[in-house]
Amino acid sequence: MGPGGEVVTGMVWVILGMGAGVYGLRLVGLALRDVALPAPLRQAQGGIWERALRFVPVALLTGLVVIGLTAQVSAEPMRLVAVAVAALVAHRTGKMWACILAGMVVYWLLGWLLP
Amino acid sequence: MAHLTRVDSTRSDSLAGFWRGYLALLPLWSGAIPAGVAFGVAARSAGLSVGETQAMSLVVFSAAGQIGAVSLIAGGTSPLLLIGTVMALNAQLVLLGLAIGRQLRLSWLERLATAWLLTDGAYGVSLGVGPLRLAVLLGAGASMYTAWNLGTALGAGVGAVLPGPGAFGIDLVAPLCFLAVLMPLVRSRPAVLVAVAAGLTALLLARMVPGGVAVLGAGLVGCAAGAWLTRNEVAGPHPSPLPLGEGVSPPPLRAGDGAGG
Repeated sequence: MGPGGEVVTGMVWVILGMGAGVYGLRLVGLALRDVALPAPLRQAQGGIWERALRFVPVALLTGLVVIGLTAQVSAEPMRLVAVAVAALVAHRTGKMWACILAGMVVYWLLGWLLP
Repeated sequence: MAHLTRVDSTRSDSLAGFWRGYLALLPLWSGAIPAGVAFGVAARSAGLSVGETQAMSLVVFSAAGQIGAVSLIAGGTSPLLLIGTVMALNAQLVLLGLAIGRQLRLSWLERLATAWLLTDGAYGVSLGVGPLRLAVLLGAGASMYTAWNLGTALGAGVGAVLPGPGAFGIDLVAPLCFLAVLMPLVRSRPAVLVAVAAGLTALLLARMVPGGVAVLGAGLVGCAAGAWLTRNEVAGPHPSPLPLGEGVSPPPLRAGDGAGG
């Protein structure tokens, strides 16, 4: 079992601890809505809170795309070309399947054409 | 009687929404199953039993977190550090929950259930289906849960029967999926600038902190930029720069089409 043997013995508790931790993270955001923000704070600064939260989808999705690309198993430049084409297709068609298809086809084509 | 009919139609409506979400996430199975297999194989080789490996996928349900944890277990890390790392890899879930809590009015029971199945992929895909709905979100979450646990079972039980998550560039599918949902949302000037700010932040943080923290940082910086850019907006019925205000929906992406073939 090696150096990790001791850790593995208590694995059930570690798994439950990790599960509780991640579940807590998931729940905190959902719970915060009416627990942590009393009305005065929510109205403060001309609704700054509301205006900030409106941008969560854009900010979060951009972060996910960037991290998804930088954390790739192999981050080659041709992925960026594929993603740029896919972005254009998504912008034009607004269809998810078209975006995925365009990105993958360009990526495979480039991999096949370039040595 | 009328009341009963309404309950019934709401229920069948929810069921339809659940299946829409479930099917809309199918493109992400292409990445989730190989990643699950990779996790299963890595967990077994780190010394975990088949039961422990599967239990982790059933209980923790986080690809980045579990794969990160397993690489630490192999190196013999203390349990507290393990739990802390898994949480750091999933820090963006807080912001995700916050966004969903704002768009949906959920009872506590619904929040407890949603928290069980909440992932980036399920949220992204649900936004693509149309106005965010709980049933769609839960369906997409359940779909990801199925794929992740199926992949784990294959990897833990049978070994590496599938090509790894990097093969054929399959790991590109998830970012493309998020991109498809993102593009229709960045049609206003503030939204474009928010995306730029968030993207640069993520790029900068990617090399310094775990993935979840980087995504959370991108989210926070992007939201702050958005609040600042719209500071002159008059309170009241806002001239939404984003098609995502209460009751307003992004243009539907018809993700189901992709799932259907």
